[in-house]
Order: sequence, then C-alpha cells, then structure tokens
Amino acid sequence: MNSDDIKSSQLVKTEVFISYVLRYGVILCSATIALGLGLRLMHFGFSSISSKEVISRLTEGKELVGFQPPYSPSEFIQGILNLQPEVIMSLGLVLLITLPIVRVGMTVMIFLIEKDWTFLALTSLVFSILIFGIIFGRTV
Amino acid sequence: MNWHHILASTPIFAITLFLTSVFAGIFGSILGLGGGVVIVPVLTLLFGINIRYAVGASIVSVIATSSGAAATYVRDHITNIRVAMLLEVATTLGALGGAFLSPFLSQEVLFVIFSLILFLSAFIMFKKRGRSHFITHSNDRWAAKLRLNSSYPDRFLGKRIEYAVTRVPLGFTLMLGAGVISGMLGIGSGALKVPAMDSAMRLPIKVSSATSNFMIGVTAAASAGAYYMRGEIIPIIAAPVALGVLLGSLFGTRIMMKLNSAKIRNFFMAVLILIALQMGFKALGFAVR
Repeated sequence: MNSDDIKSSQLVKTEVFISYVLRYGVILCSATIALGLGLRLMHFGFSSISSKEVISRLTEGKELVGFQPPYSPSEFIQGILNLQPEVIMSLGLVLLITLPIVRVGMTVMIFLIEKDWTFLALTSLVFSILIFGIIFGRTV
Repeated sequence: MNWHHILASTPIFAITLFLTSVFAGIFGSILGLGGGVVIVPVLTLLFGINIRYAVGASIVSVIATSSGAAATYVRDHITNIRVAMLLEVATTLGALGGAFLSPFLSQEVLFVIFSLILFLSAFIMFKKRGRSHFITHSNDRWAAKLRLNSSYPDRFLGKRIEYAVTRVPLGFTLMLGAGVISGMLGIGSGALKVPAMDSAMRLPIKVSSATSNFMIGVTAAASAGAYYMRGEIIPIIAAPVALGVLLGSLFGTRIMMKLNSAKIRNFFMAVLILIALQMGFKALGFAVR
C-alpha cells in the first residue's frame, strides 16, 4: 500500500481545515470585490473622471494616466470608510492575490505536522520567495 | 456598429467581462490553465483594452481559477501537493525573475519562443497518446526519495488509480523556463506546466491538470505584486474578471472529475495549438509594425 494513503487522522483534519480556509477565503474575496463593483455600478464614490470616461479610454487601448493603486493600510481604511468603489475592489483583489500565499503557508504547516523536513524546507523556500516578490514588487 | 459606444456603459462592460470570465473559468479549471488564453484575446481584440491591463487582468484570472479550483481538488485528493511544492521552487524563482525583467525586455521574441514551445508540446502529447500513457512504476530516484508517487480517485472510471512519477530533474528544469516565460508575459504558465507533467514526468492528465491548477496561482502570485504596483491591475476590469472566473471554476471542477481522461487530453492538445497560433499571430503583429 502506498505510504501516502496511510494518513494520520490529524493530517486528514488539517487538510480538511485548509480546504475550509481556502473556501472561506474565496468567499471573503468575492464578497469584497462584489461590494466594490456594486458600489461602482450604483455610481457611488468620487473620482476625478467619470466611470464612462474611464471605460472609454480603456476600450480605446489607452493607458489610464494617474491610476495609483492603493498601497498603505491607511489608504485602504480611508477608502472603505468613504465607500470608494475602486479602493474596495482593490482590497478584494489584493486579498485574492494573497490567497495562494496563505495556501502555501498552510502547506508548510502540513509538512511540519507530517515531520517531513525536506518538504518543510522546500515549501518554506517557496513561501519566502513569494513574500520577497510582494515586498519588492514596489521597486519595479 | 461602434463597440466603444456600447461598451462605454459601465454595467454592460462589467457584465460582458463577467460572462466571458465565467467561460474562461470553466475552461481553465478543467484543463489546468488560468483562463488567460480566453481573457487576453477577448480583452485586447474585442474590448480594445491596452495589453498591459489585459495581462494584469489575466494574472488575476489565473489566481482566481487556481484558488477556486484548489479547495475542491485538494479536498478530493487529486492534486499531488508534493510534486506541486517541489516544482513550485522552480516556477516561483522563474516567475520572479521574469516579472522583474518584463518592463525591460521586448516581448516579440518571447512570443515566438512561446509559440514554438507550445507547438512542440502539442506534438509530444500527441505522440504519447494511447490508452495508459501514464506509468505505475518508476525507477526515478527522486520520485522515490521524495515520495512523489501516489494515487487519485477517478470518478469517470469509478476506481482509485495508482501512478508513478519519472524524470523529475527534467520536469524541474522545464518549470524554471515555464516560470520565466509566464512571469514575463503574465500568461501561459498552465499551458507549459501541464505538458511538462504529462509528457516529461508522465502523470495522469487529471493529476497534471489539478496539480497545475494548484501551482499556477502560486506562480502568478509571485509576479502579481509587481503588476499591481505598476498600476496594471485596473479594478473595473479585474473585478468582473475575478468574480466570473471564480464562479466558472466552481462548475469546471465538478465537470472535470467526471470526464473521460482521454477527452481532457485531446481537448488540451487542441487548445495548445490554438494558443500557439495566437502567440504566432501576436509575434507577426509585432513584426509588421
């Protein structure tokens, strides 16, 4: 019998737990993104140019000059409190981007529980590379 | 008919993007792709959106397909997490390098290389078609050392399938290249991963697809930070795309598990050729200018 098939009940519980975290993470992201999109569709929030103009520019293949993606926690908090659609959508998208990283983090936990040191090292390496990418993405 | 005037309405823009993305999500989660092959041409050709924003949206769609599918495939033990994590070391390193290099290097040559690799992959997959192209025993010492061999439940066949993994170093090297290319183009990592697992490492197609789905999200997340900070992930574009793809992957995962594996492989080969042609035209488009 394949050794992978013999799983301790603790490991099975961890995999099920991770599956739930992923699923609820997806639901949280979807809700945030949908909220932001809904607000935009209902014409909430100020922006210096109207939504129609934004889409006009976009569908003509132009670049949106001056679009600054929200970055600092204060920008996000301010945007949420003021119900700014683009900030809320960006928040949901940022959460979505972090989901695979959370997934890798939980996989580190699996290998820790399994006491599989090789894969613990490999997975931790991947996790570090991801964090590096997020932190230093700004400098590009 | 002036598309611009019609699409300039925000609700129509958002809804059309959403529906396209649902399709991309279904399609992507069955094949182990990220949906970018649908999203990027639709955004650039149909909607006329700047390629940089299309690629940003594609990165989001890849992460969405991956996250949407991961919960199901992991829970149902189709994904080979060990193979995924081993190969992820290669793809994330490659993707990081690719994303940083992206603004500096011209993409014409990359499209040609990518296109050629895809034609080659389709050809190799075609040559290896046949009833049980995957293997049950392997002499590969890495597969044994790292305990990569495993099994998965196949709902179409109604039984548990044991399989083995081979040529691990080759697979790892291919993944490095796949990572760089997809980091630079922002698309296509699934299209390179599935053939590498299928043909080089000889995994069953459903395992390749589910494992690829698991991996592409991680690869995309490695380069997504750069795209976000450059302002190339535009909310009004990426939001409907993310929502559509997440919904689509919900359906796609259910469909995939019940499908005949041979059909999945054939479908995948056809899509590879489609993408390869697409990339070829893009390269020509650059050359003409």
